[in-house]
Amino acid sequence: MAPMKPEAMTALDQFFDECHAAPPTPRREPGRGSALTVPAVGLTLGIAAALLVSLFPAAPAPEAARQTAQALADRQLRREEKPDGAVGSRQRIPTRWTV
Amino acid sequence: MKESGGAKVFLVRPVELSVATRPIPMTVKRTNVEIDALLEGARPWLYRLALAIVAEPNLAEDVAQEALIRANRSRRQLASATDPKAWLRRVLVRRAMTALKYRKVDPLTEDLTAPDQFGSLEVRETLAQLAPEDRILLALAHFEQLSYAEIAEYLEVPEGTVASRLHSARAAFKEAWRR
Repeated sequence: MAPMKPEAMTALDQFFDECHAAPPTPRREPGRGSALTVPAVGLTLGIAAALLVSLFPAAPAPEAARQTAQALADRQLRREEKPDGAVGSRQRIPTRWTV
Repeated sequence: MKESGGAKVFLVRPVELSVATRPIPMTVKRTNVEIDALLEGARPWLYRLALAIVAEPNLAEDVAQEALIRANRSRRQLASATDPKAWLRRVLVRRAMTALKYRKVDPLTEDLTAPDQFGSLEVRETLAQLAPEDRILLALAHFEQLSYAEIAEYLEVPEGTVASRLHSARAAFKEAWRR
């Protein structure tokens, strides 16, 4: 014979009594965290990454820096070697043709 | 003691009221340290109240945590709240209502027999069949032991409505219990 079911309200009150006596910090299953911790962890990682980037700014690639410096030096050299009267890297083009 | 016309008159010096018995001023202003202590002290109670409503330890912890975060964000309101416990209860009940309404797991198909579950399986199965409003009402009346008047003030409805709704919630619980 199956045991008799307790009265509904008695069982409910008993449940609430158990809630009153529940430990304040329940055990969590491993790997089962609060949904709130996901954005919190993401935010923390994001802030840490932003701090790292601001502390260590990316240096220009050595080869690109060398090429830029070389191009600037060549340009300066060409400018210095230009004959008198020359303007810029191109010859002056007359704006009006005379016949 | 003086005697005037035969009657004895006792001159009693006014007694300075202690801090505990002094009436609380209407405009309370709590400091940050007091609010920290208040929130830390309220944590177990909030968790247990959440547990009484949602009947699941992990979800209850989430609800209590969200309520604490919400309270922490609204420190200004909490600093001047005349009844901080009622204020926190209101925040928690709102979070619990949201959690029950929009939870991803269907309460009817959820595995209630999982080992981390809490309390009687039959009670949890029965509660899962009730509307969130009924669960909250039962928790306020049976777990928090609030009077009809307090619940009425809390829900901003007349006392008669509270009595009627509570009667319906109990009847729904009994009906679901019999099944």
